[in-house]
Amino acid sequence: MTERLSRDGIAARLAALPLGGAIEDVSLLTGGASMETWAFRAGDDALILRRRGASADDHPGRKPPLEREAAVIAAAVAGGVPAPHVVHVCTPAEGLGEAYVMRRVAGETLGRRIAHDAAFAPARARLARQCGEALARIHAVPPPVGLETLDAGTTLANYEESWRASGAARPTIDAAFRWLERRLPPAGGEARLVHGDFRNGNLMVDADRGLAAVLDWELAHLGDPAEDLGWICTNSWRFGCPRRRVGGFGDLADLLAGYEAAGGEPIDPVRVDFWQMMGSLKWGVMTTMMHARFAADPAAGPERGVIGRRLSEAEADIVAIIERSVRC
Amino acid sequence: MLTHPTAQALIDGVARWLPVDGSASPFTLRVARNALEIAARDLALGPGADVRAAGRLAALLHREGDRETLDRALVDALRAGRIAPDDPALIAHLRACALDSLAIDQPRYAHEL
Repeated sequence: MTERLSRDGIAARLAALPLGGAIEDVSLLTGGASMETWAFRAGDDALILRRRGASADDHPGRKPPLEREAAVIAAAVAGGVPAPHVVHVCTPAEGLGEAYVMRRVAGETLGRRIAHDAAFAPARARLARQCGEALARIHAVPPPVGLETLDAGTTLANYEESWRASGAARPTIDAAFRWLERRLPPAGGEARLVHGDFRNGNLMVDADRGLAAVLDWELAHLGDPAEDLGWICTNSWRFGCPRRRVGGFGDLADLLAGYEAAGGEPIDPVRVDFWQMMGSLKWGVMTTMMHARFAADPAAGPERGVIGRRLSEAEADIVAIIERSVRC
Repeated sequence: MLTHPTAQALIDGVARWLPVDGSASPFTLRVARNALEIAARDLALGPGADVRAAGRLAALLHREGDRETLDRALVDALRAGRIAPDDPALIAHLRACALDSLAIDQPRYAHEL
């Protein structure tokens, strides 16, 4: 169980950690439902505390321990992936619950700004290739022990189970399941370390130099490396720039070129399509789960109901992929 | 069946949530306005979209019925493999459905259709 802590409570507990230097400027950056991110300074070092949120129960499903997330990041950094260095993994006695401390990387994470702002034009020119390079390195990292394996067939079966349990009748979603089923990669392919949430919004980007760090490793697992390439191409993460397929900032050809240049095994664009479809389907199934929670407690506010209406976005994206696959 | 929140459910949700003591944040008020806008567009555009969808579904499935019944029948046909996911008539229907739904739910969504 995670204790809800005030800013002063966080600061007092940080002061007891072996970080070197006085703790100053503690501020909550994002208080996501499942994760809190705090910025602070320890002496001259700008640091970040990632901590399991007090309302982690708000999100259904098991969450892997943060300790393992820290181990994945450390392995990725050792493999040459731009990612924040982990400087301390908290123990229960330190009173912060599940948490770790990492170096703060300067840059922008807001996907819309990265996709649209004129200031980020230099970053956009190189970002897709840099993402390909980073992914090739991630997929070459010897995975830390204890990561769960999640192949395409299992992922698809999990989503379909959730979908059928909802009882919803939306033919486009069922067409997507059948489309994916026909294209399932053969089971037993070599499972690689997969980031699991590699998308615009989880990348720290410098306006001039491009990719500064890959963030949010919470969903890392073993699986098909094409999953990461498909997810960043999913239209939900293009922030209103559907013609720039990679995150709304770049082209698939550049992503694939960077991937191969950094030693990644060539990935057929058909496999990217497969995982992009899976990404849209995932978003569609999630909107239905949000709607179910709205229906269960309408007085809690309309936000989850409005998200329930975003199923149409996933449907439009699904139809676009099916149309493209028929034209090819 | 929980396919998506109906216009009535959205309006009802806003009414049951809306605090009258001024405690709502600008963000949540924007979300509430968005919910009401979706409901209004649904009331204006939804019936026509349902009639068009039912007409296309009748041609696709060779049977008559309202949209809800025929949507369910199409889902069954897809699950049973009687209609393939890359069937051109199916794709044309799903495309038209997606555009009609977006016009109600998220008219500003930037898509590839």
